[in-house]
Amino acid sequence: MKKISSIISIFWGTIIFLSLSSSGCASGGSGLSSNVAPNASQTGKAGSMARFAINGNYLYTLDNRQITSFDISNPSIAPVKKAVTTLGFGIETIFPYNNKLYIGTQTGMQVLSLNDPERPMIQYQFFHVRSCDPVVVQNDYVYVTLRGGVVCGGATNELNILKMEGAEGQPNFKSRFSMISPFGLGIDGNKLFICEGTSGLKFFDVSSPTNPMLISHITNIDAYDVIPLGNILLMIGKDGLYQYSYNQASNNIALLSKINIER
Amino acid sequence: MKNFLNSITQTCCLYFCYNTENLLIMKNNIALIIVFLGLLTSCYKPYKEPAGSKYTPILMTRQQLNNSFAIQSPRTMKNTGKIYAYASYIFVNEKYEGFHIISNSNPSSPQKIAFVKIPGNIDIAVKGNRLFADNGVDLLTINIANPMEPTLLFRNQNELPSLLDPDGNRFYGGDANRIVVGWKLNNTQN
Repeated sequence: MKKISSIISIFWGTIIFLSLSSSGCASGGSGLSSNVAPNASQTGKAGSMARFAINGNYLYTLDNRQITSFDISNPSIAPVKKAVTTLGFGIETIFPYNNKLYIGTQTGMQVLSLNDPERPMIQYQFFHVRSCDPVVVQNDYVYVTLRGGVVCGGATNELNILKMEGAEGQPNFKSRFSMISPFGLGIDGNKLFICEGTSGLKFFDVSSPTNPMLISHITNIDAYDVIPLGNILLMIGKDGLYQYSYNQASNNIALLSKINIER
Repeated sequence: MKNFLNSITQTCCLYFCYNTENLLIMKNNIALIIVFLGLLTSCYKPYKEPAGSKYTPILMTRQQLNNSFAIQSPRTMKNTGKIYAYASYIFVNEKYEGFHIISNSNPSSPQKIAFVKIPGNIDIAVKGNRLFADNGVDLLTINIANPMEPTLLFRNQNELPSLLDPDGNRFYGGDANRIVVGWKLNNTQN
Protein backbone atom coordinates (compact mmCIF):
# COMPACT_ATOMS: atom_id res chain seq x y z
CA MET A 1 0.00 0.00 0.00
CA LYS A 2 2.80 2.35 0.93
CA LYS A 3 4.54 1.54 -2.34
CA ILE A 4 1.44 2.32 -4.37
CA SER A 5 0.98 5.66 -2.68
CA SER A 6 4.60 6.55 -3.24
CA ILE A 7 4.28 5.62 -6.92
CA ILE A 8 1.18 7.79 -7.11
CA SER A 9 2.99 10.64 -5.47
CA ILE A 10 5.90 10.28 -7.92
CA PHE A 11 3.36 10.38 -10.72
CA TRP A 12 1.66 13.51 -9.37
CA GLY A 13 4.96 15.17 -8.59
CA THR A 14 6.18 14.57 -12.12
CA ILE A 15 2.95 15.85 -13.65
CA ILE A 16 3.09 18.99 -11.53
CA PHE A 17 6.76 19.49 -12.27
CA LEU A 18 6.31 18.99 -16.02
CA SER A 19 3.24 21.18 -16.25
CA LEU A 20 4.88 23.94 -14.26
CA SER A 21 8.13 23.85 -16.17
CA SER A 22 6.29 23.93 -19.49
CA SER A 23 3.77 26.64 -18.63
CA GLY A 24 6.30 28.51 -16.50
CA CYS A 25 5.21 29.93 -13.15
CA ALA A 26 6.63 33.31 -14.02
CA SER A 27 5.58 33.41 -17.66
CA GLY A 28 4.14 36.63 -19.02
CA GLY A 29 0.48 36.88 -19.93
CA SER A 30 -0.78 36.06 -23.36
CA GLY A 31 -1.60 39.27 -25.17
CA LEU A 32 -5.10 39.38 -26.63
CA SER A 33 -5.29 43.00 -27.71
CA SER A 34 -4.16 46.33 -26.34
CA ASN A 35 -6.19 49.44 -26.71
CA VAL A 36 -6.25 51.45 -23.50
CA ALA A 37 -6.53 55.20 -23.34
CA PRO A 38 -3.01 56.34 -22.36
CA ASN A 39 -4.10 59.43 -20.41
CA ALA A 40 -5.89 57.52 -17.68
CA SER A 41 -3.77 56.97 -14.59
CA GLN A 42 -6.44 57.43 -11.95
CA THR A 43 -6.63 54.66 -9.37
CA GLY A 44 -9.91 53.51 -7.85
CA LYS A 45 -10.73 53.10 -4.19
CA ALA A 46 -11.01 49.74 -2.50
CA GLY A 47 -12.80 48.80 0.68
CA SER A 48 -10.77 47.90 3.76
CA MET A 49 -11.16 44.14 3.19
CA ALA A 50 -9.20 44.23 -0.10
CA ARG A 51 -6.38 41.86 -1.00
CA PHE A 52 -5.45 43.75 -4.18
CA ALA A 53 -3.90 47.21 -4.04
CA ILE A 54 -2.36 49.58 -6.55
CA ASN A 55 0.40 51.98 -5.56
CA GLY A 56 2.04 53.98 -8.33
CA ASN A 57 2.96 51.63 -11.16
CA TYR A 58 2.58 48.45 -9.14
CA LEU A 59 -0.24 46.08 -8.39
CA TYR A 60 0.12 44.11 -5.16
CA THR A 61 -1.83 40.91 -4.52
CA LEU A 62 -2.01 39.09 -1.20
CA ASP A 63 -2.14 35.40 -0.55
CA ASN A 64 -2.69 34.35 3.06
CA ARG A 65 1.08 34.19 3.53
CA GLN A 66 2.74 36.28 0.83
CA ILE A 67 2.59 39.40 -1.28
CA THR A 68 3.21 39.45 -5.04
CA SER A 69 4.17 42.56 -6.99
CA PHE A 70 3.28 43.22 -10.64
CA ASP A 71 4.67 46.07 -12.74
CA ILE A 72 1.66 47.65 -14.48
CA SER A 73 3.43 50.75 -15.80
CA ASN A 74 2.95 49.86 -19.46
CA PRO A 75 -0.75 49.66 -20.42
CA SER A 76 0.00 48.01 -23.75
CA ILE A 77 1.53 44.88 -22.22
CA ALA A 78 0.33 42.39 -19.62
CA PRO A 79 1.30 43.04 -15.98
CA VAL A 80 4.84 41.83 -15.34
CA LYS A 81 5.23 39.68 -12.24
CA LYS A 82 8.21 40.96 -10.28
CA ALA A 83 8.59 39.37 -6.87
CA VAL A 84 6.93 37.21 -4.26
CA THR A 85 7.66 38.17 -0.63
CA THR A 86 6.70 35.97 2.29
CA LEU A 87 5.04 37.87 5.12
CA GLY A 88 3.91 35.18 7.53
CA PHE A 89 0.58 33.47 8.16
CA GLY A 90 -2.97 34.76 8.22
CA ILE A 91 -2.30 37.68 5.88
CA GLU A 92 -5.68 39.29 5.20
CA THR A 93 -6.02 42.87 4.04
CA ILE A 94 -3.95 45.56 2.33
CA PHE A 95 -4.21 49.35 2.50
CA PRO A 96 -1.77 51.53 0.55
CA TYR A 97 -0.94 54.88 2.19
CA ASN A 98 1.90 57.34 1.80
CA ASN A 99 4.22 54.96 -0.06
CA LYS A 100 3.71 52.21 2.48
CA LEU A 101 1.46 49.17 2.54
CA TYR A 102 -0.50 48.47 5.71
CA ILE A 103 -1.22 44.76 6.01
CA GLY A 104 -3.84 43.37 8.33
CA THR A 105 -2.94 39.90 9.54
CA GLN A 106 -4.46 37.50 12.04
CA THR A 107 -1.68 38.24 14.51
CA GLY A 108 -1.17 41.94 14.00
CA MET A 109 -0.50 44.73 11.57
CA GLN A 110 2.52 44.96 9.31
CA VAL A 111 3.84 48.10 7.71
CA LEU A 112 5.69 47.40 4.48
CA SER A 113 8.17 49.87 3.06
CA LEU A 114 7.96 50.51 -0.70
CA ASN A 115 11.40 52.06 -1.05
CA ASP A 116 11.91 49.31 -3.60
CA PRO A 117 8.36 49.05 -5.03
CA GLU A 118 9.13 45.68 -6.59
CA ARG A 119 10.04 44.17 -3.25
CA PRO A 120 7.94 45.39 -0.34
CA MET A 121 9.86 44.94 2.91
CA ILE A 122 8.47 44.51 6.40
CA GLN A 123 9.41 47.70 8.22
CA TYR A 124 7.29 47.34 11.37
CA GLN A 125 5.07 44.76 12.97
CA PHE A 126 2.48 45.55 15.58
CA PHE A 127 1.38 42.35 17.28
CA HIS A 128 -1.96 41.89 18.95
CA VAL A 129 -4.18 39.03 20.06
CA ARG A 130 -5.28 36.60 17.40
CA SER A 131 -8.13 38.10 15.36
CA CYS A 132 -9.14 39.42 11.94
CA ASP A 133 -8.17 43.02 11.39
CA PRO A 134 -8.57 45.37 8.45
CA VAL A 135 -6.61 48.63 8.60
CA VAL A 136 -7.16 52.17 7.34
CA VAL A 137 -4.84 55.16 7.69
CA GLN A 138 -5.31 58.93 7.60
CA ASN A 139 -2.88 61.70 8.56
CA ASP A 140 -0.53 59.07 10.04
CA TYR A 141 -3.24 57.78 12.38
CA VAL A 142 -3.83 54.07 11.89
CA TYR A 143 -7.24 52.53 12.65
CA VAL A 144 -7.29 48.77 13.07
CA THR A 145 -10.34 46.71 13.97
CA LEU A 146 -9.85 43.37 15.70
CA ARG A 147 -12.56 40.75 15.41
CA GLY A 148 -12.50 37.46 17.28
CA GLY A 149 -14.48 34.37 16.40
CA VAL A 150 -14.28 30.88 14.96
CA VAL A 151 -12.47 31.71 11.71
CA CYS A 152 -10.25 34.46 13.10
CA GLY A 153 -9.48 32.99 16.51
CA GLY A 154 -9.43 34.90 19.74
CA ALA A 155 -12.32 36.61 21.47
CA THR A 156 -11.27 40.26 21.29
CA ASN A 157 -13.46 42.76 19.48
CA GLU A 158 -12.03 46.25 19.47
CA LEU A 159 -10.77 49.27 17.59
CA ASN A 160 -7.09 50.06 18.05
CA ILE A 161 -5.64 53.44 17.12
CA LEU A 162 -1.94 53.90 16.45
CA LYS A 163 0.13 56.77 15.17
CA MET A 164 3.04 56.66 12.78
CA GLU A 165 5.67 58.77 14.52
CA GLY A 166 9.25 59.88 14.14
CA ALA A 167 11.33 60.35 11.03
CA GLU A 168 10.97 56.69 10.09
CA GLY A 169 7.25 56.64 10.81
CA GLN A 170 7.05 54.01 13.50
CA PRO A 171 3.59 52.87 14.64
CA ASN A 172 2.96 53.69 18.31
CA PHE A 173 -0.12 52.50 20.16
CA LYS A 174 -2.48 55.32 21.23
CA SER A 175 -5.89 54.03 22.29
CA ARG A 176 -8.37 51.18 22.12
CA PHE A 177 -12.16 50.97 22.18
CA SER A 178 -14.44 48.03 22.66
CA MET A 179 -16.50 46.91 19.62
CA ILE A 180 -19.17 44.25 19.06
CA SER A 181 -17.99 42.38 15.94
CA PRO A 182 -16.10 44.76 13.65
CA PHE A 183 -15.57 43.99 9.95
CA GLY A 184 -14.56 46.67 7.41
CA LEU A 185 -13.95 50.32 8.23
CA GLY A 186 -13.32 53.60 6.44
CA ILE A 187 -12.17 57.09 7.34
CA ASP A 188 -12.71 60.45 5.66
CA GLY A 189 -11.75 63.70 7.36
CA ASN A 190 -13.47 63.86 10.72
CA LYS A 191 -15.73 60.86 10.03
CA LEU A 192 -14.93 57.24 10.82
CA PHE A 193 -17.24 54.42 9.71
CA ILE A 194 -17.12 50.95 11.21
CA CYS A 195 -19.12 47.91 10.09
CA GLU A 196 -20.24 45.77 13.02
CA GLY A 197 -21.60 42.82 11.01
CA THR A 198 -25.06 41.83 12.22
CA SER A 199 -24.84 44.64 14.77
CA GLY A 200 -25.01 47.30 12.06
CA LEU A 201 -23.00 50.34 11.03
CA LYS A 202 -21.43 52.97 13.30
CA PHE A 203 -20.55 56.57 12.48
CA PHE A 204 -17.92 58.29 14.62
CA ASP A 205 -16.58 61.81 14.82
CA VAL A 206 -12.77 61.71 14.87
CA SER A 207 -12.05 65.43 15.21
CA SER A 208 -9.86 64.13 18.00
CA PRO A 209 -8.13 61.32 16.07
CA THR A 210 -7.43 59.07 19.05
CA ASN A 211 -10.80 59.55 20.71
CA PRO A 212 -13.69 58.68 18.35
CA MET A 213 -17.14 59.85 19.47
CA LEU A 214 -20.11 57.79 18.36
CA ILE A 215 -22.51 59.92 16.29
CA SER A 216 -24.90 57.32 15.00
CA HIS A 217 -25.49 53.58 15.09
CA ILE A 218 -27.70 52.04 12.40
CA THR A 219 -28.73 48.71 13.86
CA ASN A 220 -31.19 47.06 11.48
CA ILE A 221 -28.57 46.12 8.86
CA ASP A 222 -25.78 43.57 8.46
CA ALA A 223 -22.72 45.68 7.53
CA TYR A 224 -19.60 44.14 5.95
CA ASP A 225 -17.44 46.87 4.36
CA VAL A 226 -17.46 50.57 3.48
CA ILE A 227 -15.85 53.02 1.06
CA PRO A 228 -16.11 56.73 1.93
CA LEU A 229 -16.13 58.76 -1.29
CA GLY A 230 -16.28 62.29 0.13
CA ASN A 231 -19.93 63.06 1.07
CA ILE A 232 -21.11 59.61 -0.10
CA LEU A 233 -20.55 56.45 1.88
CA LEU A 234 -20.82 53.12 0.07
CA MET A 235 -21.69 50.28 2.39
CA ILE A 236 -22.08 46.64 1.44
CA GLY A 237 -24.01 44.40 3.75
CA LYS A 238 -25.66 41.00 3.53
CA ASP A 239 -28.90 42.35 2.11
CA GLY A 240 -27.90 45.38 0.09
CA LEU A 241 -25.51 47.95 -1.31
CA TYR A 242 -26.35 51.09 0.64
CA GLN A 243 -25.36 54.69 -0.02
CA TYR A 244 -25.44 57.37 2.68
CA SER A 245 -24.77 61.06 2.41
CA TYR A 246 -22.53 62.64 5.02
CA ASN A 247 -20.46 65.81 5.31
CA GLN A 248 -17.61 67.22 7.35
CA ALA A 249 -19.57 70.21 8.67
CA SER A 250 -22.35 68.32 10.42
CA ASN A 251 -23.28 64.97 11.91
CA ASN A 252 -26.17 64.52 9.47
CA ILE A 253 -26.44 61.13 7.80
CA ALA A 254 -29.11 60.22 5.27
CA LEU A 255 -29.82 57.05 3.34
CA LEU A 256 -29.76 57.84 -0.39
CA SER A 257 -30.32 54.45 -1.99
CA LYS A 258 -30.18 50.72 -1.60
CA ILE A 259 -29.75 47.99 -4.20
CA ASN A 260 -31.06 44.73 -2.85
CA ILE A 261 -28.87 41.68 -2.46
CA GLU A 262 -30.66 38.35 -2.49
CA ARG A 263 -30.13 36.46 0.75
CA MET B 1 -0.61 12.86 13.38
CA LYS B 2 -2.85 14.20 10.66
CA ASN B 3 -1.86 17.72 11.60
CA PHE B 4 1.78 16.79 11.58
CA LEU B 5 1.51 15.31 8.08
CA ASN B 6 -0.41 18.37 6.99
CA SER B 7 2.27 20.72 8.22
CA ILE B 8 4.99 18.68 6.50
CA THR B 9 3.04 18.82 3.26
CA GLN B 10 2.55 22.55 3.65
CA THR B 11 6.22 23.11 4.28
CA CYS B 12 7.13 21.01 1.24
CA CYS B 13 4.65 22.80 -0.95
CA LEU B 14 5.99 26.13 0.27
CA TYR B 15 9.48 24.98 -0.62
CA PHE B 16 8.19 23.84 -3.97
CA CYS B 17 6.53 27.18 -4.68
CA TYR B 18 9.64 29.17 -3.82
CA ASN B 19 11.69 27.01 -6.08
CA THR B 20 9.47 27.33 -9.12
CA GLU B 21 10.90 30.85 -9.35
CA ASN B 22 14.30 29.31 -9.97
CA LEU B 23 13.17 26.64 -12.40
CA LEU B 24 14.82 28.23 -15.40
CA ILE B 25 18.17 28.33 -13.67
CA MET B 26 17.72 24.80 -12.48
CA LYS B 27 16.97 23.54 -15.96
CA ASN B 28 20.68 23.83 -16.61
CA ASN B 29 21.50 21.68 -13.68
CA ILE B 30 20.26 18.12 -14.02
CA ALA B 31 21.61 17.06 -10.65
CA LEU B 32 19.68 19.75 -8.90
CA ILE B 33 16.53 18.77 -10.73
CA ILE B 34 16.90 15.20 -9.59
CA VAL B 35 17.32 16.36 -6.00
CA PHE B 36 14.35 18.66 -6.44
CA LEU B 37 12.16 15.89 -7.92
CA GLY B 38 13.17 13.56 -5.14
CA LEU B 39 12.21 16.14 -2.60
CA LEU B 40 8.90 16.69 -4.33
CA THR B 41 7.93 13.07 -4.54
CA SER B 42 8.90 12.45 -0.96
CA CYS B 43 6.47 15.04 0.30
CA TYR B 44 3.78 15.66 -2.26
CA LYS B 45 0.45 14.09 -1.41
CA PRO B 46 -2.51 14.29 -3.77
CA TYR B 47 -5.10 15.48 -1.26
CA LYS B 48 -8.71 15.20 -2.33
CA GLU B 49 -9.63 18.15 -0.12
CA PRO B 50 -8.12 19.99 2.82
CA ALA B 51 -8.32 17.95 5.98
CA GLY B 52 -11.29 19.08 7.99
CA SER B 53 -12.57 21.44 5.31
CA LYS B 54 -16.29 22.05 5.26
CA TYR B 55 -16.02 22.80 1.55
CA THR B 56 -15.52 20.89 -1.69
CA PRO B 57 -13.54 22.72 -4.40
CA ILE B 58 -15.17 23.57 -7.72
CA LEU B 59 -12.57 22.81 -10.37
CA MET B 60 -11.93 23.89 -13.97
CA THR B 61 -9.57 22.63 -16.62
CA ARG B 62 -7.05 25.04 -18.11
CA GLN B 63 -9.12 25.26 -21.28
CA GLN B 64 -12.32 25.97 -19.34
CA LEU B 65 -10.56 28.68 -17.36
CA ASN B 66 -9.16 30.28 -20.52
CA ASN B 67 -12.69 30.55 -21.89
CA SER B 68 -14.41 31.50 -18.65
CA PHE B 69 -14.50 35.30 -19.05
CA ALA B 70 -17.84 36.66 -20.27
CA ILE B 71 -19.93 39.83 -20.16
CA GLN B 72 -23.53 39.19 -19.15
CA SER B 73 -26.60 41.34 -18.70
CA PRO B 74 -27.22 42.87 -15.27
CA ARG B 75 -28.68 40.47 -12.74
CA THR B 76 -29.79 40.30 -9.14
CA MET B 77 -26.91 40.49 -6.69
CA LYS B 78 -26.35 37.61 -4.30
CA ASN B 79 -23.55 36.18 -2.16
CA THR B 80 -21.64 39.43 -2.53
CA GLY B 81 -18.09 40.09 -1.38
CA LYS B 82 -15.95 43.18 -1.72
CA ILE B 83 -16.73 46.55 -3.26
CA TYR B 84 -14.56 48.88 -5.32
CA ALA B 85 -15.21 52.44 -6.49
CA TYR B 86 -13.79 53.99 -9.63
CA ALA B 87 -14.91 57.24 -11.29
CA SER B 88 -18.72 57.15 -11.22
CA TYR B 89 -18.82 53.35 -11.11
CA ILE B 90 -19.12 50.80 -8.35
CA PHE B 91 -17.89 47.25 -8.75
CA VAL B 92 -19.44 44.64 -6.49
CA ASN B 93 -17.86 41.22 -6.30
CA GLU B 94 -20.07 38.15 -6.23
CA LYS B 95 -17.92 35.57 -4.44
CA TYR B 96 -16.20 33.19 -6.91
CA GLU B 97 -18.55 34.31 -9.74
CA GLY B 98 -17.36 37.70 -11.01
CA PHE B 99 -18.53 41.28 -10.42
CA HIS B 100 -21.45 43.57 -11.02
CA ILE B 101 -20.85 46.95 -12.66
CA ILE B 102 -23.03 49.73 -11.30
CA SER B 103 -23.29 53.19 -12.79
CA ASN B 104 -23.40 55.63 -9.87
CA SER B 105 -23.64 59.01 -11.56
CA ASN B 106 -26.72 59.50 -9.41
CA PRO B 107 -26.10 57.95 -5.95
CA SER B 108 -29.81 58.24 -5.20
CA SER B 109 -30.53 55.93 -8.11
CA PRO B 110 -27.58 53.65 -8.93
CA GLN B 111 -28.08 51.42 -11.98
CA LYS B 112 -26.67 47.94 -12.59
CA ILE B 113 -25.30 47.92 -16.13
CA ALA B 114 -23.49 44.60 -16.55
CA PHE B 115 -22.24 41.46 -14.86
CA VAL B 116 -18.70 40.35 -15.65
CA LYS B 117 -18.45 36.60 -15.27
CA ILE B 118 -15.04 35.60 -13.85
CA PRO B 119 -15.06 32.22 -12.09
CA GLY B 120 -12.92 32.28 -8.95
CA ASN B 121 -13.07 36.08 -8.65
CA ILE B 122 -12.68 37.67 -5.21
CA ASP B 123 -10.68 40.86 -5.72
CA ILE B 124 -10.36 43.68 -8.22
CA ALA B 125 -8.35 46.89 -8.55
CA VAL B 126 -8.45 49.63 -11.19
CA LYS B 127 -5.85 51.96 -12.66
CA GLY B 128 -6.80 54.15 -15.59
CA ASN B 129 -9.09 52.12 -17.77
CA ARG B 130 -7.53 48.84 -16.73
CA LEU B 131 -9.24 46.63 -14.22
CA PHE B 132 -7.24 43.79 -12.66
CA ALA B 133 -9.11 40.75 -11.41
CA ASP B 134 -8.28 37.29 -10.12
CA ASN B 135 -9.69 34.42 -12.18
CA GLY B 136 -8.56 31.50 -10.02
CA VAL B 137 -4.80 31.31 -10.51
CA ASP B 138 -4.89 33.73 -13.44
CA LEU B 139 -4.63 37.51 -13.27
CA LEU B 140 -6.88 39.22 -15.83
CA THR B 141 -6.45 42.72 -17.23
CA ILE B 142 -9.77 44.08 -18.45
CA ASN B 143 -10.36 47.24 -20.47
CA ILE B 144 -13.21 49.22 -18.88
CA ALA B 145 -12.94 52.33 -21.07
CA ASN B 146 -16.54 51.49 -21.94
CA PRO B 147 -17.93 49.97 -18.72
CA MET B 148 -21.02 48.81 -20.61
CA GLU B 149 -18.80 46.44 -22.57
CA PRO B 150 -15.56 45.53 -20.83
CA THR B 151 -13.08 43.55 -22.90
CA LEU B 152 -10.35 41.14 -21.85
CA LEU B 153 -6.89 42.53 -22.62
CA PHE B 154 -4.49 40.08 -21.00
CA ARG B 155 -4.49 36.83 -19.10
CA ASN B 156 -1.45 36.15 -16.89
CA GLN B 157 -1.66 32.41 -16.46
CA ASN B 158 -0.77 30.74 -13.14
CA GLU B 159 0.59 33.89 -11.56
CA LEU B 160 -1.68 33.89 -8.51
CA PRO B 161 -1.82 31.25 -5.79
CA SER B 162 -4.64 28.73 -5.68
CA LEU B 163 -7.86 29.96 -4.04
CA LEU B 164 -8.27 29.19 -0.36
CA ASP B 165 -11.60 27.97 0.96
CA PRO B 166 -13.73 30.43 2.97
CA ASP B 167 -12.07 29.16 6.16
CA GLY B 168 -8.58 29.74 4.76
CA ASN B 169 -7.75 26.11 3.96
CA ARG B 170 -5.72 25.25 0.89
CA PHE B 171 -6.65 22.54 -1.63
CA TYR B 172 -3.64 20.33 -2.34
CA GLY B 173 -5.23 18.17 -5.03
CA GLY B 174 -5.08 20.82 -7.76
CA ASP B 175 -2.74 20.87 -10.71
CA ALA B 176 -2.38 22.66 -14.04
CA ASN B 177 -5.61 21.11 -15.25
CA ARG B 178 -7.56 21.07 -11.97
CA ILE B 179 -7.85 24.72 -11.00
CA VAL B 180 -9.95 25.85 -8.04
CA VAL B 181 -12.56 28.45 -9.03
CA GLY B 182 -14.89 28.20 -6.06
CA TRP B 183 -16.11 26.22 -3.09
CA LYS B 184 -19.28 24.33 -2.38
CA LEU B 185 -20.36 23.88 1.23
CA ASN B 186 -20.59 20.16 2.03
CA ASN B 187 -24.13 19.34 3.03
CA THR B 188 -23.32 15.98 4.53
CA GLN B 189 -21.22 15.57 7.62
CA ASN B 190 -18.37 13.11 7.33
